[in-house]
Amino acid sequence: MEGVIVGGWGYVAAAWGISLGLLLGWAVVLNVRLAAARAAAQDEGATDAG
Amino acid sequence: MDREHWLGIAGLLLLIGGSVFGLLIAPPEKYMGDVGRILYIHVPTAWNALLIATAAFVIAIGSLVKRSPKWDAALHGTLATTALLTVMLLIQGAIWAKPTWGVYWDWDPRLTTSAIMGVSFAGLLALRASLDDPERRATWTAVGTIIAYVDVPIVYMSIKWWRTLHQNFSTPETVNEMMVIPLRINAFAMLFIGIWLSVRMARLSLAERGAAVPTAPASADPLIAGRA
Repeated sequence: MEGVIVGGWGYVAAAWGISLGLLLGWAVVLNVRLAAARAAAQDEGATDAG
Repeated sequence: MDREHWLGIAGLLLLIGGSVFGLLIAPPEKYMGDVGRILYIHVPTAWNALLIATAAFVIAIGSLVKRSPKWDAALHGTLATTALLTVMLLIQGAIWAKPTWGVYWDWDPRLTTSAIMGVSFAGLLALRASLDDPERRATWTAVGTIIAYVDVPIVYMSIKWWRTLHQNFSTPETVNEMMVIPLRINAFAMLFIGIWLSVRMARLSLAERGAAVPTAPASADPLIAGRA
């Protein structure tokens, strides 16, 4: 049909891939940093208690 | 397990379901064909960027009134999520613009105000990172958020106020029901994931600040210790 965009799955894949990649990447960074911060707080607490 | 993980899991499952529906089951858009499926990730991202920015604005006022580390941490969480979602929606929009408008970018009112929003919220995160004093950091972040938020209603209304390449508001009455379903599913998915990310960032902000961290082996604050 005239005027209709044909194909374009590459653009769809790029939009989804980049979005999910950013979400996943940020989630991993956040959780790793949080685990490290909690571990550091616990170590500090154990040192102070000792 | 931190209780917000249930929201994250629900968001992830909804995102998988909404994406499968939008990519494989919903019909192609009448003129854009399959490229129109970007709608199902772009619009939920945009809605939630504006919604969480509004939450940040409310929390900023609360932070100025309450002056507590928890309010500042909550503000940090919503700011980071707003910045992330705004970057995502700008990238999605650029990818969608190329096959439909012929260019990745245009200094169109909706695009320009959205870019200003992204730069403003990312700038607030940079401002936070540059300040060592927790009191000053909390005050400047809250005031900066209130100023940055001025752009958010302008982003929303830009397609009404100016002539723009961006399409106008769609309503359930103007689109096929099969297109509304994945749109709504992914809207809730992005909302749940956005809240999850905001709470994780708030916990990290509190933990790194060291606020309310006692000298006991584990923190008594449930937000830090993960017993909330």
